Amino acid sequence: MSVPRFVVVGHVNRGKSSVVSTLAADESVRIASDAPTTLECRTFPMRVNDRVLYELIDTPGFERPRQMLQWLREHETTTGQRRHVVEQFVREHAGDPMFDKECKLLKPVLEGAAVLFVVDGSVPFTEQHEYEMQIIQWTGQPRMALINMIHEENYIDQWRPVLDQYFNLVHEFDAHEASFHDRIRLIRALREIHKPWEAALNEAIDALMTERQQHLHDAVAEIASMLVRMLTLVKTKRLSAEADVEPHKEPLARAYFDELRRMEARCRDAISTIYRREQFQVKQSELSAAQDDLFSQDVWLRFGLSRGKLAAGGAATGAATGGMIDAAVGGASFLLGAVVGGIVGAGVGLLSAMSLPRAQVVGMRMGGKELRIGPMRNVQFPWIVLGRALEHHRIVSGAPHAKRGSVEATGEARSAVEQISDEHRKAINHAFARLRKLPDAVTREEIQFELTDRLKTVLAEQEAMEPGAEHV
Amino acid sequence: MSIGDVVDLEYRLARDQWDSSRQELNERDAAIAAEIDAGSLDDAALVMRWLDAVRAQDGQAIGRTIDTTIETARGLALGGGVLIGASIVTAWLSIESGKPINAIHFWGALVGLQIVFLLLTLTALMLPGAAKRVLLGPMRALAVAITWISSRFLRGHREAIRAVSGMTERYAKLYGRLRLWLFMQIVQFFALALNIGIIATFIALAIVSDPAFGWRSTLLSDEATHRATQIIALPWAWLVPEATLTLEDVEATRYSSLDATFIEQFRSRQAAGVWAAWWPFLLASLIVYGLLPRLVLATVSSWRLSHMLRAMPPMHGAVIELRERLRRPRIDTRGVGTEKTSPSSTANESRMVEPVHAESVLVMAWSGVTADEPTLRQWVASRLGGNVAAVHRVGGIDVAADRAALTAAKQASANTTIALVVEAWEPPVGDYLDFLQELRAAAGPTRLIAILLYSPSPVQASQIALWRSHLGALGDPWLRVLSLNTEAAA
Repeated sequence: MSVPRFVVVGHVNRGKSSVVSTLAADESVRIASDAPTTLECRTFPMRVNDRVLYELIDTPGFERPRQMLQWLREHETTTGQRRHVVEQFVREHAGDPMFDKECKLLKPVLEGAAVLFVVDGSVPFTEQHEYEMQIIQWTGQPRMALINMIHEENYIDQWRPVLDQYFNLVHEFDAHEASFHDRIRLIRALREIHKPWEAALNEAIDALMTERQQHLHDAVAEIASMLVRMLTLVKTKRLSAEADVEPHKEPLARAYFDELRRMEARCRDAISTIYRREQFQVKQSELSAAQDDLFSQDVWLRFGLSRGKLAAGGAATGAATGGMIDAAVGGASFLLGAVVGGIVGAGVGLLSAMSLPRAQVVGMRMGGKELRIGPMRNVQFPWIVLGRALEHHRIVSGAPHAKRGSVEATGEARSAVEQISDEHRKAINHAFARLRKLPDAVTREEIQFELTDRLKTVLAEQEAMEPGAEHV
Repeated sequence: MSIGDVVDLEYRLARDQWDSSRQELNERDAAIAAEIDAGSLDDAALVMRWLDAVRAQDGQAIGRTIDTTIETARGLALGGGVLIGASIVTAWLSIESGKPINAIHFWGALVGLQIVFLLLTLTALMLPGAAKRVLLGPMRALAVAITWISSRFLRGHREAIRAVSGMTERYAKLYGRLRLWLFMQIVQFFALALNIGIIATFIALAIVSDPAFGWRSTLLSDEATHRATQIIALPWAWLVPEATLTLEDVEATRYSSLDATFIEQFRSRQAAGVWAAWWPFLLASLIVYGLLPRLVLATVSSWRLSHMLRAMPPMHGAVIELRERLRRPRIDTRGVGTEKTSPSSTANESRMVEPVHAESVLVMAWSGVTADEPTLRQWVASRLGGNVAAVHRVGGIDVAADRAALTAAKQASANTTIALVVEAWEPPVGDYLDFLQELRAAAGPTRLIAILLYSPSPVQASQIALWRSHLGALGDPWLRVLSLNTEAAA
């Protein structure tokens, strides 16, 4: 069976490349609203283990549809011969610079590819577009119209009646806003325009879902790795017994916090690479909430867990400890241990959330002294980092590849951690607590894998609740 | 897997963690998975084939160096053992002191000590946790020493050796037993070879010489010594009774350095062969208490080692990650090759913005311009000034309409400006440009042609810029590009 091939055609600058970029998840596709960017056909094969399941072909837009249609009409004999007339046109004009683009875009269509005809629903329908639709119709190939929305205006009502006449299916697809689920829905729709390709496209959909899970796994593994490294980071400086430690404290603390910032930056870069969004900038102005400095007062207030949840976490730990005392005295303390433990725990939780590590001097076995900073014992810190990472991940993983430049953050970092269920939050908190005790390398690795699994579940649950996910 | 393979695996997994991004690893391992047909391999074979591929890529052979070092250590243990054993026995039996060799000393040093070490080894192997660590402490010290020495002599691999050493500690939970049995094997090889050297030299010297064994003791009686030899000889007495001592042999071979008649007795008894009575007993002791246990331990440790290596690699987190990377389907949706870029065309763009004040205007409205004729007349007049002489519809499928418009352009008076109204949202594709060229040919080279961009909504600056940019490339000084909607004109 032949590989399903879809030629993306349409008027110049109507978003063909945007559609291809989003469908192929490829940032290398050039997109510009102010000039025709596609000069040659470019193939985007969807490969699974080097086996091609379908191909998208980006094409230059029609340059002279009016003149081409005039030629076709002049050479038309019968309706049944229309495809042959198109073939004749391509044959006779091969190498003619005037109809170079028409020949290039029609060649794969005449070789058996289906047509995805892209129109911009934000501009009015004109007769020029109908010339193109007629040419496509003359080829007799399976075809679907995609209504892309480049601008705010909406002329879909003008387009619909015309498109319905010329195409088997009409689908709205905003390449600049489409989610992963929209992408899958479009591929599902493609099955309808040519039934023999259904099996290959089903396989492709499964593979894309698998790939999405792989990306999710890799991204949360990066986040878990960052958290483990951050929480176990310790910086030291060895000094002689007589040395004055004061001048060394500030540089050591600076190096410590700089290292934490670098870890976060590296994690962000890694996540962008996983989703193949290296050129997608999350600029500070756009992502002010998530890109503020990690250690500014403001960030500590805006991200991480709320004071209530922090106090609740500390209280639960304290109450559990107090409860053990109650149990040890056979309940003779009338649960006083649990109550006092809870109050103390809540206080410690809140206080701990406000303090940052400082450089401290510790003795050394071999003489001299060591200045040390870390590990981070602030209970709020990992939640802040996690909230920011989840916010960044949401933006990067959600933006379609046609969306370029930078994107506005909605400041949902705090809600990203607040939305985590109690069960997951307790397990994650437990992992953070274990890391703060600086376990050995193998245990750290175990915790990292536990965190990865946990966060994967959290994100998968959150993604399943996204609008439209239930239809995929 | 060999020990070197295990070291190579851990070294590369750790290096991956330090030096490579997840995406780099995904890409590298996807290529390797395709090369080795990952789907058809079991876990162990998969990891091994991956390791071969990575080694071929980076050309580093740390594992091979480790394997060579281990082989060398085994060879040295075997060779050194034989040599040391032979040297000890040669030295001991070759001393011509004029006195018989004290069999109790000989047995104690070459058999008794080995029994003590053997018992310690077996105890250490059977003990749990902390006690084992105390007893195996020297082994750890030796490993540290080997690492230090290796890093001094294998300068090219110094960093790698340190890394491996660090990893060995890091993965002590995973590879602690492997390390134990490797060390055990090498020690048992040494002990086995030592016994072979001792026994071979002992037999050889007995053939070419006549070593005389006796015994002396202040506390032990003849009977007690005889009883002790009987107990020691229990394992072989039933099979080789010649290798046991009778009470007479024990009595006859007892001597004392204080005895004045000792030399005479010694010489006469040696002639009678009495002094050779200990020889079979000592040989049997060396074989039964020295050689055989070491042979068993060397075999067991080799078997355990190979059994553990067959079960390698352990499926710890990093190996599981690697396996997942190799087994995951390789999905790629990206385009083939790179795109060509379009050349910039901004020549003569500056002339296109000059204002137009027309006396008379001939309007040509492209087919997508839906405004009716009175509206068009009003807009054009307000934008360019002057009277609108006529409005032609062009750009439709009917070529005749275009021809009529071109004829009108040709016949228009010299002071008539031609206004071509086009859709602002459309880019200037070939159909427009071709018509524009025909229009220029019909209207003459110096007639002012104004391209007026029409849009139901305000014309955007980017739309005007696009048209100016494209038409600027024509190099026509009598061409202007303006917005038809005056309020939106840039």
